[in-house]
Amino acid sequence: MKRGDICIALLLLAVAAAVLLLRPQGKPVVYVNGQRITASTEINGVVIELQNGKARVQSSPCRDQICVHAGWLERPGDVAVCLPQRVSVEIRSGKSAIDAVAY
Amino acid sequence: MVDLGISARSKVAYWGVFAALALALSFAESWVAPLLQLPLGVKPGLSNIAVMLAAGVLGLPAGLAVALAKALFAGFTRGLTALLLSGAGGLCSALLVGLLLRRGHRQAQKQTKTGVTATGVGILGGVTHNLAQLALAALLTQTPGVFWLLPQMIVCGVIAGAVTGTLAGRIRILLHQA
Ligand SMILES: [Zn+2]
Repeated sequence: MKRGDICIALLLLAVAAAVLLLRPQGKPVVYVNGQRITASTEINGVVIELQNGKARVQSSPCRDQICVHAGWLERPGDVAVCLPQRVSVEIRSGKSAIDAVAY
Repeated sequence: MVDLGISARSKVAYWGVFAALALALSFAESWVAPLLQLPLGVKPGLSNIAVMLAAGVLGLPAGLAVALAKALFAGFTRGLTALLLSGAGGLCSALLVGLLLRRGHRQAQKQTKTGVTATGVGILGGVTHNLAQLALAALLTQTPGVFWLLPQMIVCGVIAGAVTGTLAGRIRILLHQA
C-alpha cells in the first residue's frame, strides 16, 4: 500500500462521513415505496410493522432476508430495501425538529 | 494492457481460467455473504478478484466478459434481481479498473509518482461496484432515499476493494514470473 492508495481510501471515507452529516433531522415519517404510511401494512408479500413511529420489515418471502435483518428504522435517513420483492421502507423527515421548537 | 508476452493460445486459456475463477468465487461467496448481512445483500466482492485480474492482465474486453459470465451465473442460481445487481456492479468496476490500468500504462511514470498500486485500483473498483448496485437499487424501488446507505456501501467497498486489489496485485506478480 502506497501513499496514493491511502489518499484514495481517505478521500472516499471522507465522502462517507460527509453523507452521514447530511442526514436529515426531524420528526420521523414512514414511507413505503414512496407512499406515506401511518399503520402496519403489507406489499408484495412483505409485512411492514409500525410501532411508536418506528418501522421494520417483520417478514418477507425473499431468500436472503436482508430486509428483515435491517431491524427497526427510527431516524430520518434509515432505510430497508427488499430488492427481490421490490419494496423499500424509509424514514423521511417530517416537520423539522427546529420548526417544531420555533412555532 | 499488460504485455506479458503471452501467446494468443495461452491468452484464450487465461480467459477460461479467469471465468472459472469468477464462478468458483461467486459460489463460495453465496455461502459467506448471508452471514455478513451487508445492506442490500451486497456481496464482499471476492469474485471481483477474477474480474480485476482479467481486466488487468488481458485487458478491458476480458474484464467485461468475465463480469458478464459472473452476472449470468448469478442469474441462473439466484434469479433476475441477482443478475441485474451482479451485472451492474461487475461491469462498472471492470470498466473502471480496465480503463485505469490502460491509462496507468500509458502514463507509467506519472503513476509511480502518485504511488497508486493495485490496492488503490481495487479500492476504486470495490466502491464503484457497490455504488452501481446502490444506484440500481434506487432505480428498481424508485426510492432516492436508498442513497442514505452510501456511507455503509463506501466503507464496505473500501475494505473489500483493498483486499481484492492487493490479492489481484500479488497474483498478477506471480503470473509475470510464470
Ligand atoms: Zn427481503
